[in-house]
Amino acid sequence: MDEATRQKWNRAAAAYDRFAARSSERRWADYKRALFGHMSGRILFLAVGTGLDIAFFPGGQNIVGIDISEKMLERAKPRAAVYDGALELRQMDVHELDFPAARFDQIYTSCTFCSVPRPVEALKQLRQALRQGGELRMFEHTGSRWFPFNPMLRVMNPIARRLGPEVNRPTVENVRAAGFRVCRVVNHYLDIVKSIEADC
Amino acid sequence: MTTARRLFFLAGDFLSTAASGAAAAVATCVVLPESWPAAAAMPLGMILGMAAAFAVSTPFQAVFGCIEVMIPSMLAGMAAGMTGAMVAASTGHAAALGASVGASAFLFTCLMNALLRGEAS
Repeated sequence: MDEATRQKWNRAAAAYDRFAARSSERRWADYKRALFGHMSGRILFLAVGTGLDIAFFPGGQNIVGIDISEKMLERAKPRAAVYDGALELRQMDVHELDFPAARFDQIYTSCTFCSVPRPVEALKQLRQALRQGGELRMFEHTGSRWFPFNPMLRVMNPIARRLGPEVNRPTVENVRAAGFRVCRVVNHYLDIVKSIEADC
Repeated sequence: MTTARRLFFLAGDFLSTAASGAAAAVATCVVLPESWPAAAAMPLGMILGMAAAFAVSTPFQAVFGCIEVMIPSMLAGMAAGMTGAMVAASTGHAAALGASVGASAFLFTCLMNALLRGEAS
């Protein structure tokens, strides 16, 4: 397990809800609800964190939620307990997934790949965990291809990385590099906040 | 999203961007001496402006959203920092100028957002 990442998110756990719950979660609620509305079959939810996204899950699903931080998962437990379906929480590093190959029909992520240290390697792990033809659905923020946002995010990235997530990740390209076929990309804010749908 | 909620977030983005622009221009006006050559003052103003914008926009991010507040605010900080370093004559003038640059950065980001959002090719 990546100790530095685990400790970083353990430290962030206490303040995470205060910062994220009021703003980004409220702002993107409709978009997340629409994306997660496609849930069906055996589902892996990556980086479930404090469980803020659980409120947007459709009921009656069979979901395994993982996170690298035990302190985040502690906070997610009460939210998982009231979920109207099967939701198992497990501590796990996405670089070292402990599931049999082709275990899941779908994998979901939500603002995760800005923080995964080795994104292509992690996406390859996800690909192994998905059955043939399984779906990867992501809600992520990425870098931009457009001036002036592109150079600005490049300047900001070294500082952002120290404080938490990176702001300049080429996540769509990383998904392709991991062997997925990108089916659809929908920009929600500029070309930075987006949904990505891919299959393998 | 309801219209009221959309307006709430737009107002937050605007306030953060205008305040970030004003803070960036004031910071560069106060810190960078008028006698400095433009070639040095502009890049330093940009960096100082971004730092000021980061500090001012952080509380707004907690209420109105991280990325959506940060992007126009940092853009405002960058542009107002450069402008403040070049043309501001007093802190009052710098604040007004910076807020105007911030408002422009907000409008520019809205325009770009209207062009870019939706299904990507």
